[in-house]
Amino acid sequence: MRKSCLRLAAAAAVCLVGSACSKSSSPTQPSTTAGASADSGAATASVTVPRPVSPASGATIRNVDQPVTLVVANAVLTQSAVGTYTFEVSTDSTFSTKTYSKTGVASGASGQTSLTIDKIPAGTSYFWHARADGGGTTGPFSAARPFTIGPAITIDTATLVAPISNTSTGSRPTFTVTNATRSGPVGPLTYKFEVAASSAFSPVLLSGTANEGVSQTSFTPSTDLPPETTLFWRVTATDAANGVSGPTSLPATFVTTFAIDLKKVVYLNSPDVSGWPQTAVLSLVEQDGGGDGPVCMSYTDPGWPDSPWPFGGPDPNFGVYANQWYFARINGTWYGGAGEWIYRGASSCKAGQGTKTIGPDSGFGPPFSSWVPKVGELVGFMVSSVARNGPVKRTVDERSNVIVQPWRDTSLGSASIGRAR
Amino acid sequence: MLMAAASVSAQTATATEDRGYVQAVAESAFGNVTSQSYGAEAGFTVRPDLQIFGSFGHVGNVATDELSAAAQSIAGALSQLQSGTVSYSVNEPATFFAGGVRYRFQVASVLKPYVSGGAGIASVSKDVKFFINGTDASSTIPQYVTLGTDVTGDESALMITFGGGVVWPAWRQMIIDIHYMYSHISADTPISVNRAGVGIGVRF
Repeated sequence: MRKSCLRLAAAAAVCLVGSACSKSSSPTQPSTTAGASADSGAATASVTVPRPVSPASGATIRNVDQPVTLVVANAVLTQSAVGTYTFEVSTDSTFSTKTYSKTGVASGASGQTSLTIDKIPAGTSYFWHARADGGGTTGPFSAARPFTIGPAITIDTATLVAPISNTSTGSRPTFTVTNATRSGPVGPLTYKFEVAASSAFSPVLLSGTANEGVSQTSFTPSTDLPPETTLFWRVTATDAANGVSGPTSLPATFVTTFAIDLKKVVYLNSPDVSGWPQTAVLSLVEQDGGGDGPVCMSYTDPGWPDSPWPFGGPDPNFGVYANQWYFARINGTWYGGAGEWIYRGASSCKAGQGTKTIGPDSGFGPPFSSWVPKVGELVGFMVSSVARNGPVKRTVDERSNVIVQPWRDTSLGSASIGRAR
Repeated sequence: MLMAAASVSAQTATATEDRGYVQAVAESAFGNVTSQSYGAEAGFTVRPDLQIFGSFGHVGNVATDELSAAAQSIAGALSQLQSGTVSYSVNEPATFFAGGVRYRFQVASVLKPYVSGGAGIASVSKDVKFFINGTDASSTIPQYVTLGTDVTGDESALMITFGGGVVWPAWRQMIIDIHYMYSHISADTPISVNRAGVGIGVRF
């Protein structure tokens, strides 16, 4: 009897051990990954959904800002499992067609994992989601999050119009380009003009930006460029709103003409105008030292105010608003002074500025008073608001640029075509 | 009278002519958590000092630290992923069947001490529930988490057990068995269970 009981006990023990060690998982959730099945001997981890961080839901990303970086807050994995991540991008919220997909993205440090995806077509709305995988379990995908890639915009190179091909210019030339062609929903364009002494544009001497004009865009610098220098300029058109720039143009060259440093001028019977703002543009000086000595200046009139004329006359309201200026280099020093008065309603041509009369004419004093310019001698011309010292009071203290050109006198052999230039 | 009963019992036990026993068991189970356990056990005498036994039982909760920590971790994540208040419950009942041997010390006392050891199968079932705003969230949490087998599923695993106790022949064939048993269940996450309790049965 006892032997029978022992045999029965031994058989029961074998059956117990042999039938042990089975398991079944809950039918509700887990999906286990290959290689870490429920029968592998270790429990699988639980994996939460990663929390989308960036781009924000509904974000619109400029095409130029591609590639897009997707960022999630790391999922929580139990059992100290380390997760990898899958990111998917699709044009539909069910992700039936994937525009981009990447698996096995290593978990990032500091609690976030990011993935910079390939560039995807512009002007399209997308959805993205991510999930974690680790500890033998694949977690759920995060909710589909929409974002949009903005439209593709292209901007071509603007064409340089002037100055080009070593054109001679003043110290503040106006740079002009033909507007750049473009495609796509481009925003307002601005043009960046750069001037440099070398084609490498390093360093840039001067840089300025102008809003796009109707068919051409121009820019005039507010500071003088170095005189008698070959310079390079180029332009870049930019759509700042969309962050798109066209290619920078090839450089063009121009040469600045001789210019007078107004800070070194000795002013005669006139104030130092080197600090006066340049609000008028003197574009043409026509002069002849022969005959009655006309000097005609073409300039933009910025509306300088009249200064009452204190010397009497038939009109008690008569006033003058500007002076012509002359600059002469005498014994190595530049001298300058305000000459003829200019009043509205009259021509901008003034007589009496002949070769033998220009010096004494306006009471400059020595050495201008005895100055007799020679044909071909470089003389500077300028207009300003009322400037000459004396009872006519100054007004706004503004001026034009200075044009330096050779003295002409048809009575002494200068060409007679035109009055001057 | 008590003295007389004890004398009779002692004479009977000393004779070791019992062929076996059957008893019902009620225990307190403690380890990571405290719960109740109940079951039954039967044994057959193969030698005066040796019995073989078979037992089955049910322990209300053998949840491990790891199971609780995993549930807490998931609940924390759920709090970040949605706006509701998250709570959770953790329970892991175990049902076992085991067989083994009991060695009875041959002593003159009325109380008969013994040690025993055996092996068997334990079936454990992880029962972790999450609640959002007090409502069972079993149907909604799949969008937030895929639960692994660390917090779900049933598992049958080898269980070894050993311990000891004393048997008191209380009255006629009736015996009272006061004992302590340690069990180790070789589950994915190993489980240790301590049981201390009393069995009431008969010998034959």
